Amino acid sequence: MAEDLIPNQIIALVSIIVSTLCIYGSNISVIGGILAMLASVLSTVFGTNTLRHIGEHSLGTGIPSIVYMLSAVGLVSYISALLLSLHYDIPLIFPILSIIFAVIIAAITSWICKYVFDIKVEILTKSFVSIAVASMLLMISLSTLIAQTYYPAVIYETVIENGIILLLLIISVMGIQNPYNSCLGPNEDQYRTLSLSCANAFLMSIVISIVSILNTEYWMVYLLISLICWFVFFRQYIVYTRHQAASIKTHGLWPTHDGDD
Amino acid sequence: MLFELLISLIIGATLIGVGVHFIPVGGAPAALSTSAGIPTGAPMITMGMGITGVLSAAMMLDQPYYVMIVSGAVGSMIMISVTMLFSNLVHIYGVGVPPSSSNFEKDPITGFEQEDYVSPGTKGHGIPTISFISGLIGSFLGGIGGSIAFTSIYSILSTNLHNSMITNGTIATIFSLLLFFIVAVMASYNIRGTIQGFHDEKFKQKILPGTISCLLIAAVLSLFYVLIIWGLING
Amino acid sequence: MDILLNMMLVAFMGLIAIIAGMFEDLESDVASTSNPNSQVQLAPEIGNLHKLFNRAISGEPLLVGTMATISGTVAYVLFTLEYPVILVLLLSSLVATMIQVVWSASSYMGRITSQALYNQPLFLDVLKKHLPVIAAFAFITLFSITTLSYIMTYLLNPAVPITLPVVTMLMGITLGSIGSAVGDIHYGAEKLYQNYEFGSGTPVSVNGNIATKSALGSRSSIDVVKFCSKFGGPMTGLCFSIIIFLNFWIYLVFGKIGGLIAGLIIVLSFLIFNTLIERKARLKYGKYEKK
Repeated sequence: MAEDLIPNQIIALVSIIVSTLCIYGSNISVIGGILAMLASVLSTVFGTNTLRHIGEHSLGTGIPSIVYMLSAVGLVSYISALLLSLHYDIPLIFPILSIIFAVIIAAITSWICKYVFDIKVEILTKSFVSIAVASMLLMISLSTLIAQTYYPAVIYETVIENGIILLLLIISVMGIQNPYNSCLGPNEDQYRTLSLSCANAFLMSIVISIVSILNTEYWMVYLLISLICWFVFFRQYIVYTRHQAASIKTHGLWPTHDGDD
Repeated sequence: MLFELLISLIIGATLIGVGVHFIPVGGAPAALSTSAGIPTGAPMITMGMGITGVLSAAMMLDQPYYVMIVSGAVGSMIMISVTMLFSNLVHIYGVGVPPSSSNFEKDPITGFEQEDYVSPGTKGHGIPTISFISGLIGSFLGGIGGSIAFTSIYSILSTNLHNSMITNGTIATIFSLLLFFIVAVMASYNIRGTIQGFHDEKFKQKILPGTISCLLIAAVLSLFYVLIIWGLING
Repeated sequence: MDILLNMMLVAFMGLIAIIAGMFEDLESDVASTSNPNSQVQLAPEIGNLHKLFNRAISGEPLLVGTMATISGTVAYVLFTLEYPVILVLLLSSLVATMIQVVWSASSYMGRITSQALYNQPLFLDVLKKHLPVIAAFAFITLFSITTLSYIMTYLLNPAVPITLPVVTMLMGITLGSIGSAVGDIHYGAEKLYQNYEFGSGTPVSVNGNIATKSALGSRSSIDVVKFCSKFGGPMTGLCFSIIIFLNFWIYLVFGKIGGLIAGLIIVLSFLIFNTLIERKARLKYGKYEKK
């Protein structure tokens, strides 16, 4: 793996703060959905970049399993925070409280891995917490895109009761783990992986904008924006691929070992 | 009421975690006939199995609770037994190898010698009878665990909320599914790779830390679940 | 009348599950998903360049689960807007198929580019040739799963009391884990290592030394499908179909309590059948000679 050009701390800081602010801004009509998209892109990038580091260590089973366990953790904390803020009728604490809950559960899981299973990976706790928070922010931002607000009562009605939350869960697992899993290999590169993760985030927004037909008449706007942005980032990904591939062939056989070196 | 829910959730989640250890899992090497067991990751096959159980339990909503719980176990057992049987069929007729494993010398049920039937350079292939039985036990435990979680959440929702049956069923399914997502992965971190059921030496080393850790994570999750259910009822 | 209609629906579900399972496995073969892909990934590392498709979106259960959930949710939304059934099923599986194709393309490009160290070229003709096949198989799979879930949630009486997105996810993950547990063996252990003798497992020492040449030129993953469609694919379909069919059928015929007992008896008979074929295989194939 090549050296990282953007350090993980900066990505983490920027994406957590900006995503949370964007989630708070999702009440504004029309713009709110776009802010939610921005939050989803940032949290996907954060999750993927963390996975790039923890994925190098073998934990005993495949890479996706880390992400879907921690996304499930994120979902549990998301729903419990949602219901708590619903009960006490303070919508403002919902995103913050979910971050706190996600940190707690993910930290406990990582401690069990460390002390009971004896997995000796130094960055385990940090990575587990980061992935749980990233996937949780991703799920919240996607649900605000559907519900057009971060108010728990609306989210509960439009996202959780009808089971669409499972789509958000599995789609965020995919969004976070797919870029790293797709680009796994000795020549993995941060820019290429992260451009794919941005493209993936917008691909998810395409699906979510279709789902948001039920709640907003502006779904066409979101669909159009996410299609255009997906195209831009996917093109960028192809540009990186062209630069970094060993060679690109349109036909024929692979090179033999004697000639091409 | 909430205390009962807490206890039954802890029991259910722990049963899922213990059940994972019983399932003979071969991981990626088993898909190449390099190792015995079901050729996929432990969390994946557990999820597939548990999900079938939850679906079976969800079709029994008008029945008494013990019927719901047992039907979950039966659904899981059907799923895992058919999968293992067909896995063996492909091994025998598609790859041309007899089911055997070098993790133990002799199958205690059938008395088949293992070592001579393991192809050279591999650790076995297919699912021998003893591992098959172990898989059935694992699916029984996992299915019971999943349907206990489903049933307890569903019953508390249906007695306290005026939602429709579909909403309650959906919420209960989502939560029991999340248990599988978390506990099965934790258990497979404990297993680390392949395991051939309860007759394997590895099982005896792994079952104790596995049970403890599953109990711990089950307790934490159940606390949050109780918080959620409390919020649902009083929200 | 009710039980007759239900029986017909369950039989139809079994039929459609065969199609779903079979094409799911063939899709995973043509795109080289899941566990056997580790060998395709390993091949360039030991100097064995190839023209096979190399895709790792994620594990098979997660992939099929995701795609089925996307399809199911879009279908749920369109059903809420009261579109006609056939149109909804077609549209929703089309949306999911397009996403799967995009992910397949990006995944192939990503994995191959990350192997630049081993001089593995990125073949555009592989991409062009395989993507339509992947799309076709994925569409059939997703359409079948969505139809299956639609029957379960809307037509069956009593219906499964869960909403459509959740049911499609359950079906997708189950199907994915079956496809990875049954069909992939035929691809991984037999087709990839066809250059070795039939009738033994793959020793660790030959890992990565897969067959890269076919009768005429290089081997593509479409050759793999042709081989696997004769045994691995249909077996996966049959397995999934039996699971779906039995899970509903026993309760329809024997009642609720009787169904549980019947289920246990069926499981036991599978155990006995398994032991019988294990015994038969041992007698027929004999012992391996130690080298």
